[in-house]
Amino acid sequence: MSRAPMELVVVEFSGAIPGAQLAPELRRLIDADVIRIVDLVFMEKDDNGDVVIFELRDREGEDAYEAFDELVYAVEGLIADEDLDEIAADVQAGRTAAILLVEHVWAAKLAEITRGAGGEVVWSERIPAAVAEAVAAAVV
Amino acid sequence: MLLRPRVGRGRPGLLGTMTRTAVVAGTATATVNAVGNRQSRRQQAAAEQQAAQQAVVDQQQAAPAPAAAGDDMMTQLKQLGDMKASGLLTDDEFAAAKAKLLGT
Repeated sequence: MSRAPMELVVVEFSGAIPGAQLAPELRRLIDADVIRIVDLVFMEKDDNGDVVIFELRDREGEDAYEAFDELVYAVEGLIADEDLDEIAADVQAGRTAAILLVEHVWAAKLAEITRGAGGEVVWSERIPAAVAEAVAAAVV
Repeated sequence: MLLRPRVGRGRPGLLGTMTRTAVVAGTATATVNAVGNRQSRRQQAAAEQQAAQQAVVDQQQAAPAPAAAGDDMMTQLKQLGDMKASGLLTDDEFAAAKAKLLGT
């Protein structure tokens, strides 16, 4: 199966991960062929900076995590230990992070057409909405 | 919950592989830039507004980066040319310095 481009997303929360609220929206995006969640890992960093990495199967019976279970297309371990080491440096102490590998299903056909025409993505960078708004608001 | 199998995570990292591939493909600048942005974002953390302002600054600083190496060489070549024209360098010295600069 040919893959669409993927994006590694790390989202940290100061409290519990709002699985029950996130799950329905993720479900909608998955059903609409917008994204697919290919891998999912969680990371907790305590106030001393000690990191605990865990997976869905480690939190069986907890609603916030159970909510994600049916959304994950296939946990294939594509997020490697090496990645988690790097990500751990970025997560703040006292936070819990969800690390998702999101496949941009919506872009699969575009990528195929581009490749077929010998095109190449030279640069692709997501601009945070806040930045775009700040630029739009700048007085020229 | 359906008990998920324990997955192995011993593969090469996505992030490291991307950087290495980018070097081969010649798109390293973009990748390094993205990583740099991520790190600088982490360093500020603080308020969302502050983050937005900083990201704009990052972007402005990052934009000319890909051309920097080429510009630098052009500037140096020009300087050499000026030095030769003003008699500071002999023809031989100019040729040697130019060859060194171009790596030939």
